[in-house]
Amino acid sequence: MTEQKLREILEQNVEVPDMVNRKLEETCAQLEGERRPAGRKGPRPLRLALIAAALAAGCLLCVAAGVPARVFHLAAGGIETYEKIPGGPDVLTQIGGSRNPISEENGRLWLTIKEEAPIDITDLIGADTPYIYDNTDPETGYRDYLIVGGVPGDYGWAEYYEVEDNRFASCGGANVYTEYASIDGVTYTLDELTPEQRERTEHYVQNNDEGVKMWMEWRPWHDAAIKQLGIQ
Amino acid sequence: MEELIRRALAGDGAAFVALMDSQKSTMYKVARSYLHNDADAADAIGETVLACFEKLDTLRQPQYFRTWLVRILIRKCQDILRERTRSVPLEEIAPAACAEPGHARVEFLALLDGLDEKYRTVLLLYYGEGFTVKEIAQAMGLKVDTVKTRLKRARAGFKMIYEAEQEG
Repeated sequence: MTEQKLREILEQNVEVPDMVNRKLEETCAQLEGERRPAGRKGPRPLRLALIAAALAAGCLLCVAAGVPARVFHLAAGGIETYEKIPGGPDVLTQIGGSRNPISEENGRLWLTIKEEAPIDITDLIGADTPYIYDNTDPETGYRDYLIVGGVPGDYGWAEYYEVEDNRFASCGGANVYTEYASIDGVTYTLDELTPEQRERTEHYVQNNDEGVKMWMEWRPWHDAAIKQLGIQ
Repeated sequence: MEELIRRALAGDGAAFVALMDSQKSTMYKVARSYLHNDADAADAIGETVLACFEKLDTLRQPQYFRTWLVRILIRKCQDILRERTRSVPLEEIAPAACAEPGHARVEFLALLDGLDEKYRTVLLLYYGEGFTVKEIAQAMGLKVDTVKTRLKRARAGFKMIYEAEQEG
């Protein structure tokens, strides 16, 4: 049996039974009902207590393992902590959860920083022009930037904070790049693909379909902001 | 898919649902390879979706989303297997699906069921889902060399089962 034959048998699409589809739908409906931002889980009580202690102390602690090393009050809302475990992974915990800070109303774009009143930024941003909100903590000097850009109908945002000196991590964002696929020489955005073309892009990701290429392009306003800030 | 992940991370519930839906075939195949029946596979997938929703913020590199998702799913499957072992006599466990000519899903799964559990998922992830050996090792918590060995034995085992099926 050849490798090709093995792939043919094992990669074939399997009909997902109704029972599984129903379970998936029920679970997703349950999550929708909770109306909690995806992926933003509240920390365990003990951890919350440690973070609260750090916040109450009004400082960023670099002491025993498990205590947050850096605390950020995000411009998009919520609090995020970052700690580096020696020899281990980066650990990030978010309290409160960030939310989309930019919204459109009657053809105008409004930016909401933390709990402040929304401001109209329609004329301050564009497809190539970002608006950068510098959320650097005046006490610690740890940098945090909220970047927004685009035009009504096509706008986005991203927030980056400094986890180590001159090393930044993304802590939220939306609509900051476009994904493209070229299928048999024709270029599409991923939103334009038919279900059959989507299948081919999935196949490409897994097995290198010869007729397919995929790439992503950052939005010009995002690129301009990153360049201006010099953070990548 | 990365755009969906980003949007889900930013709190877009519709993107999260679309993301899970895009992975349901992979989740079903992996869960079914562990659990042998659709009801348990559905439970494992439901638990996995909940866990993903809870833990999405721990995913910092979207390109590893599928590895991360499968790792969670495998743990849920193992939990169900452990629970089942404790509570159900072995002889009462639902039999593996039988091959029914013309029913691609059952044929495909019945072939996999003929393999030992430790080979099924490795084979499925590598050939069926396009995972690399390293990604399988990460998803299953195994050493890379162990994955390679299992893959080699899985290929040989699957070949025997497949050829016997064709001759029979």
